[in-house]
Amino acid sequence: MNQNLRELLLRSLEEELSEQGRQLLDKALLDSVELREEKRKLIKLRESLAGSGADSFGPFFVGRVMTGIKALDKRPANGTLFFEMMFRWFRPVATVGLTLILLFTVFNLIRANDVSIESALGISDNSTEQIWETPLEQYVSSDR
Amino acid sequence: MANRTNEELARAAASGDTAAFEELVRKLEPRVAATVIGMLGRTPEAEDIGQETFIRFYKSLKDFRGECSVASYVTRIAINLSLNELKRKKRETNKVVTLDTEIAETAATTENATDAFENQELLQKALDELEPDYRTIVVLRLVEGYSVRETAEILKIPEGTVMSRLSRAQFKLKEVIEKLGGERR
Repeated sequence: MNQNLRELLLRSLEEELSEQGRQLLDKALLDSVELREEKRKLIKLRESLAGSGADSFGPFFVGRVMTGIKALDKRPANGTLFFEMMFRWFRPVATVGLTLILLFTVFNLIRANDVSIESALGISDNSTEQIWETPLEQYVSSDR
Repeated sequence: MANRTNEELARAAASGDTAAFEELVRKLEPRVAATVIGMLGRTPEAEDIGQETFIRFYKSLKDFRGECSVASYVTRIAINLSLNELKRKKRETNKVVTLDTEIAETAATTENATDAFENQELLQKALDELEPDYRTIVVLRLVEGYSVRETAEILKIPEGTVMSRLSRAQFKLKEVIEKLGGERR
Protein backbone atom coordinates (compact mmCIF):
# COMPACT_ATOMS: atom_id res chain seq x y z
CA MET A 1 0.00 0.00 0.00
CA ASN A 2 1.20 3.47 -0.85
CA GLN A 3 2.80 5.01 2.24
CA ASN A 4 1.66 8.50 1.27
CA LEU A 5 -1.93 7.33 1.10
CA ARG A 6 -1.62 5.75 4.55
CA GLU A 7 -0.28 9.02 5.92
CA LEU A 8 -3.07 10.91 4.22
CA LEU A 9 -5.59 8.51 5.69
CA LEU A 10 -4.23 9.12 9.19
CA ARG A 11 -4.19 12.85 8.68
CA SER A 12 -7.83 12.69 7.61
CA LEU A 13 -8.64 11.22 11.02
CA GLU A 14 -6.89 14.12 12.74
CA GLU A 15 -7.73 17.17 10.69
CA GLU A 16 -9.66 18.53 7.74
CA LEU A 17 -7.78 17.74 4.53
CA SER A 18 -7.32 20.19 1.71
CA GLU A 19 -9.75 19.83 -1.17
CA GLN A 20 -7.06 18.16 -3.27
CA GLY A 21 -6.04 15.81 -0.48
CA ARG A 22 -9.63 14.83 0.24
CA GLN A 23 -10.32 14.06 -3.42
CA LEU A 24 -7.15 11.98 -3.67
CA LEU A 25 -8.04 9.99 -0.57
CA ASP A 26 -11.67 9.48 -1.61
CA LYS A 27 -10.58 8.12 -4.96
CA ALA A 28 -7.99 5.85 -3.35
CA LEU A 29 -10.58 4.57 -0.89
CA LEU A 30 -12.96 3.78 -3.75
CA ASP A 31 -10.28 1.93 -5.65
CA SER A 32 -8.60 0.02 -2.83
CA VAL A 33 -10.28 -2.55 -0.61
CA GLU A 34 -7.05 -2.73 1.37
CA LEU A 35 -7.13 0.98 2.17
CA ARG A 36 -10.78 0.79 3.18
CA GLU A 37 -9.91 -2.09 5.53
CA GLU A 38 -7.00 -0.06 6.88
CA LYS A 39 -9.33 2.85 7.59
CA ARG A 40 -11.86 0.60 9.31
CA LYS A 41 -9.18 -0.89 11.57
CA LEU A 42 -7.68 2.46 12.46
CA ILE A 43 -11.08 3.84 13.41
CA LYS A 44 -11.73 0.76 15.52
CA LEU A 45 -8.36 1.14 17.20
CA ARG A 46 -8.99 4.79 17.98
CA GLU A 47 -12.44 4.07 19.36
CA SER A 48 -11.08 1.32 21.57
CA LEU A 49 -8.26 3.54 22.82
CA ALA A 50 -10.69 6.36 23.54
CA GLY A 51 -12.71 4.04 25.75
CA SER A 52 -9.71 2.45 27.42
CA GLY A 53 -8.76 5.21 29.85
CA ALA A 54 -8.86 4.34 33.54
CA ASP A 55 -10.87 6.88 35.52
CA SER A 56 -9.69 6.10 39.02
CA PHE A 57 -6.78 4.73 41.00
CA GLY A 58 -9.23 2.86 43.17
CA PRO A 59 -11.08 3.60 46.38
CA PHE A 60 -9.68 5.99 49.00
CA PHE A 61 -7.10 7.46 46.63
CA VAL A 62 -8.04 11.05 47.49
CA GLY A 63 -7.78 10.24 51.21
CA ARG A 64 -4.30 8.81 50.76
CA VAL A 65 -3.16 11.86 48.82
CA MET A 66 -4.51 14.18 51.51
CA THR A 67 -2.77 12.16 54.24
CA GLY A 68 0.47 12.64 52.31
CA ILE A 69 -0.21 16.37 51.98
CA LYS A 70 -0.94 16.74 55.70
CA ALA A 71 2.25 14.88 56.57
CA LEU A 72 4.06 17.29 54.26
CA ASP A 73 2.56 20.28 56.05
CA LYS A 74 3.65 18.94 59.44
CA ARG A 75 7.27 18.80 58.35
CA PRO A 76 9.25 21.72 59.75
CA ALA A 77 10.40 24.55 57.55
CA ASN A 78 14.02 24.71 56.37
CA GLY A 79 15.13 27.08 59.18
CA THR A 80 13.59 24.90 61.85
CA LEU A 81 15.14 21.89 60.20
CA PHE A 82 18.62 23.47 60.53
CA PHE A 83 18.26 23.99 64.30
CA GLU A 84 16.75 20.55 64.69
CA MET A 85 19.77 19.06 62.96
CA MET A 86 22.15 21.11 65.14
CA PHE A 87 20.34 19.90 68.24
CA ARG A 88 20.41 16.30 67.05
CA TRP A 89 24.12 16.32 66.18
CA PHE A 90 25.41 18.43 69.10
CA ARG A 91 25.36 15.63 71.68
CA PRO A 92 27.27 12.96 69.69
CA VAL A 93 29.80 15.49 68.40
CA ALA A 94 30.34 16.89 71.93
CA THR A 95 30.75 13.39 73.36
CA VAL A 96 33.35 12.42 70.78
CA GLY A 97 35.19 15.74 71.33
CA LEU A 98 35.32 15.31 75.10
CA THR A 99 36.52 11.73 74.78
CA LEU A 100 39.36 12.85 72.47
CA ILE A 101 40.39 15.63 74.90
CA LEU A 102 40.42 13.15 77.78
CA LEU A 103 42.52 10.65 75.84
CA PHE A 104 44.93 13.41 74.80
CA THR A 105 45.28 14.55 78.44
CA VAL A 106 45.97 11.03 79.68
CA PHE A 107 48.48 10.50 76.87
CA ASN A 108 50.32 13.74 77.82
CA LEU A 109 50.41 12.81 81.51
CA ILE A 110 51.82 9.37 80.79
CA ARG A 111 54.38 10.78 78.36
CA ALA A 112 55.58 13.49 80.76
CA ASN A 113 55.52 11.12 83.75
CA ASP A 114 54.41 14.09 85.82
CA VAL A 115 51.03 15.13 87.17
CA SER A 116 50.57 18.82 86.49
CA ILE A 117 48.32 21.04 84.45
CA GLU A 118 51.20 21.87 82.11
CA SER A 119 51.90 18.19 81.51
CA ALA A 120 48.23 17.45 81.03
CA LEU A 121 47.91 20.20 78.46
CA GLY A 122 51.21 19.24 76.81
CA ILE A 123 52.73 22.68 77.38
CA SER A 124 56.45 22.67 76.72
CA ASP A 125 58.93 23.81 79.40
CA ASN A 126 60.76 25.81 76.73
CA SER A 127 59.69 29.34 76.05
CA THR A 128 59.02 30.47 72.49
CA GLU A 129 62.23 32.53 72.50
CA GLN A 130 64.24 29.48 73.53
CA ILE A 131 62.73 27.46 70.74
CA TRP A 132 63.59 30.11 68.15
CA GLU A 133 67.10 30.57 69.47
CA THR A 134 67.97 26.89 69.43
CA PRO A 135 69.63 26.02 66.12
CA LEU A 136 67.71 23.57 64.01
CA GLU A 137 70.76 21.28 63.75
CA GLN A 138 70.56 20.64 67.44
CA TYR A 139 67.08 19.19 67.12
CA VAL A 140 68.12 17.17 64.11
CA SER A 141 71.25 15.78 65.83
CA SER A 142 69.39 15.08 69.06
CA ASP A 143 66.80 13.13 67.07
CA ARG A 144 69.56 10.92 65.70
CA MET B 1 -18.67 27.10 47.33
CA ALA B 2 -19.90 24.91 44.51
CA ASN B 3 -18.59 24.47 40.95
CA ARG B 4 -15.35 26.35 41.31
CA THR B 5 -13.02 26.05 38.33
CA ASN B 6 -9.71 24.23 38.60
CA GLU B 7 -7.89 27.55 38.47
CA GLU B 8 -9.98 28.99 41.33
CA LEU B 9 -9.41 25.88 43.38
CA ALA B 10 -5.66 26.03 42.70
CA ARG B 11 -5.53 29.67 43.83
CA ALA B 12 -7.46 28.82 47.00
CA ALA B 13 -5.21 25.83 47.68
CA ALA B 14 -2.11 27.99 47.18
CA SER B 15 -3.33 30.28 49.92
CA GLY B 16 -3.69 27.36 52.32
CA ASP B 17 -7.20 26.06 51.67
CA THR B 18 -6.66 22.30 52.02
CA ALA B 19 -10.32 21.54 51.27
CA ALA B 20 -9.93 23.27 47.91
CA PHE B 21 -6.93 21.10 47.14
CA GLU B 22 -8.88 17.99 48.10
CA GLU B 23 -11.64 19.01 45.69
CA LEU B 24 -9.03 19.54 43.00
CA VAL B 25 -7.58 16.07 43.57
CA ARG B 26 -11.08 14.62 43.31
CA LYS B 27 -11.70 16.46 40.04
CA LEU B 28 -8.34 15.65 38.47
CA GLU B 29 -8.01 12.04 39.60
CA PRO B 30 -9.70 10.60 36.47
CA ARG B 31 -7.37 12.53 34.18
CA VAL B 32 -4.24 11.64 36.13
CA ALA B 33 -5.36 7.99 36.41
CA ALA B 34 -5.92 7.80 32.64
CA THR B 35 -2.47 9.24 32.03
CA VAL B 36 -0.51 7.22 34.54
CA ILE B 37 -2.32 3.92 34.03
CA GLY B 38 -2.16 4.47 30.27
CA MET B 39 1.59 4.91 30.55
CA LEU B 40 2.39 2.25 33.15
CA GLY B 41 -0.55 -0.11 33.03
CA ARG B 42 -2.43 -1.15 36.16
CA THR B 43 0.68 -1.76 38.20
CA PRO B 44 1.28 -1.21 41.91
CA GLU B 45 3.57 1.68 40.99
CA ALA B 46 0.81 3.48 39.09
CA GLU B 47 -1.00 4.58 42.24
CA ASP B 48 2.27 5.70 43.85
CA ILE B 49 2.99 7.81 40.79
CA GLY B 50 -0.56 9.18 40.97
CA GLN B 51 -0.03 10.24 44.58
CA GLU B 52 3.39 11.66 43.83
CA THR B 53 1.87 13.68 40.98
CA PHE B 54 -0.52 15.45 43.34
CA ILE B 55 2.13 15.92 46.03
CA ARG B 56 4.47 17.52 43.48
CA PHE B 57 1.60 19.69 42.28
CA TYR B 58 0.84 20.75 45.86
CA LYS B 59 4.49 21.67 46.43
CA SER B 60 4.57 23.73 43.24
CA LEU B 61 1.22 25.49 43.77
CA LYS B 62 2.89 28.72 44.77
CA ASP B 63 5.03 28.70 41.62
CA PHE B 64 2.10 27.94 39.33
CA ARG B 65 1.67 31.04 37.16
CA GLY B 66 -1.30 29.87 35.13
CA GLU B 67 0.61 29.79 31.83
CA CYS B 68 -1.38 26.68 30.95
CA SER B 69 -4.50 25.12 32.43
CA VAL B 70 -4.27 23.37 35.78
CA ALA B 71 -5.27 20.10 34.13
CA SER B 72 -2.49 20.37 31.54
CA TYR B 73 0.01 21.30 34.24
CA VAL B 74 -0.90 18.29 36.38
CA THR B 75 -0.92 16.03 33.30
CA ARG B 76 2.61 17.23 32.48
CA ILE B 77 3.77 16.30 35.99
CA ALA B 78 2.07 12.89 35.63
CA ILE B 79 3.71 12.28 32.25
CA ASN B 80 7.17 13.25 33.50
CA LEU B 81 6.89 11.05 36.58
CA SER B 82 5.59 8.16 34.46
CA LEU B 83 8.48 8.51 32.02
CA ASN B 84 10.92 8.52 34.95
CA GLU B 85 9.28 5.39 36.29
CA LEU B 86 9.54 3.70 32.89
CA LYS B 87 13.24 4.60 32.75
CA ARG B 88 13.75 3.25 36.26
CA LYS B 89 11.95 0.02 35.38
CA LYS B 90 13.98 -0.37 32.21
CA ARG B 91 17.18 -0.02 34.21
CA GLU B 92 16.00 -2.47 36.85
CA THR B 93 14.60 -5.19 34.68
CA ASN B 94 16.35 -6.41 31.66
CA LYS B 95 13.22 -7.98 30.35
CA VAL B 96 14.09 -11.61 29.90
CA VAL B 97 10.48 -12.63 29.60
CA THR B 98 9.51 -10.54 26.61
CA LEU B 99 6.19 -8.87 26.31
CA ASP B 100 5.61 -10.87 23.16
CA THR B 101 5.11 -13.96 25.28
CA GLU B 102 2.64 -12.17 27.52
CA ILE B 103 0.85 -10.73 24.54
CA ALA B 104 0.63 -14.10 22.85
CA GLU B 105 -0.99 -15.47 25.98
CA THR B 106 -3.51 -12.67 25.98
CA ALA B 107 -4.15 -13.11 22.30
CA ALA B 108 -4.91 -16.76 22.83
CA THR B 109 -8.16 -15.69 24.43
CA THR B 110 -9.00 -13.40 21.53
CA GLU B 111 -11.48 -14.77 19.05
CA ASN B 112 -10.45 -12.93 15.90
CA ALA B 113 -8.62 -9.90 14.59
CA THR B 114 -11.59 -7.55 14.95
CA ASP B 115 -12.13 -8.59 18.55
CA ALA B 116 -8.44 -8.01 19.13
CA PHE B 117 -8.96 -4.30 18.53
CA GLU B 118 -11.61 -4.28 21.26
CA ASN B 119 -9.64 -6.33 23.76
CA GLN B 120 -8.57 -3.80 26.41
CA GLU B 121 -5.92 -6.01 27.93
CA LEU B 122 -4.41 -6.57 24.52
CA LEU B 123 -4.56 -2.86 23.77
CA GLN B 124 -2.67 -2.09 26.98
CA LYS B 125 -0.02 -4.66 26.18
CA ALA B 126 0.32 -3.33 22.66
CA LEU B 127 0.71 0.14 24.19
CA ASP B 128 3.46 -1.23 26.42
CA GLU B 129 5.27 -2.29 23.26
CA LEU B 130 5.53 1.31 22.11
CA GLU B 131 8.55 3.45 22.88
CA PRO B 132 7.75 5.81 25.80
CA ASP B 133 7.74 8.89 23.55
CA TYR B 134 5.17 7.34 21.25
CA ARG B 135 3.14 5.92 24.11
CA THR B 136 2.92 9.38 25.66
CA ILE B 137 1.42 10.79 22.48
CA VAL B 138 -1.10 7.97 22.15
CA VAL B 139 -2.18 8.30 25.78
CA LEU B 140 -2.60 12.06 25.59
CA ARG B 141 -4.18 12.30 22.16
CA LEU B 142 -6.18 9.10 21.78
CA VAL B 143 -6.86 7.90 25.32
CA GLU B 144 -7.35 11.24 27.05
CA GLY B 145 -8.61 13.09 24.01
CA TYR B 146 -6.35 16.14 24.12
CA SER B 147 -6.10 17.89 20.77
CA VAL B 148 -2.86 17.78 18.80
CA ARG B 149 -2.16 21.37 19.84
CA GLU B 150 -2.80 20.65 23.54
CA THR B 151 -0.65 17.52 23.37
CA ALA B 152 2.14 19.57 21.82
CA GLU B 153 1.78 22.19 24.57
CA ILE B 154 1.85 19.64 27.38
CA LEU B 155 4.94 17.93 25.99
CA LYS B 156 6.51 21.16 24.77
CA ILE B 157 7.19 19.76 21.31
CA PRO B 158 6.07 20.98 17.86
CA GLU B 159 2.67 19.93 16.55
CA GLY B 160 4.35 18.33 13.54
CA THR B 161 6.29 16.02 15.86
CA VAL B 162 3.05 15.05 17.60
CA MET B 163 1.46 14.23 14.25
CA SER B 164 4.37 12.17 12.98
CA ARG B 165 4.74 10.25 16.24
CA LEU B 166 1.01 9.69 16.38
CA SER B 167 1.05 8.34 12.86
CA ARG B 168 3.89 5.91 13.53
CA ALA B 169 2.43 4.88 16.87
CA GLN B 170 -0.94 4.01 15.37
CA PHE B 171 0.56 1.89 12.62
CA LYS B 172 2.75 0.11 15.13
CA LEU B 173 -0.22 -0.53 17.43
CA LYS B 174 -2.30 -1.81 14.53
CA GLU B 175 0.49 -4.12 13.40
CA VAL B 176 0.99 -5.58 16.87
CA ILE B 177 -2.72 -6.16 17.38
CA GLU B 178 -3.20 -7.60 13.89
CA LYS B 179 -0.30 -9.96 14.39
CA LEU B 180 -1.75 -11.22 17.62
CA GLY B 181 -5.26 -11.46 16.28
CA GLY B 182 -3.90 -13.36 13.28
CA GLU B 183 -1.91 -15.77 15.44
CA ARG B 184 -5.10 -16.91 17.07
CA ARG B 185 -6.81 -17.79 13.78
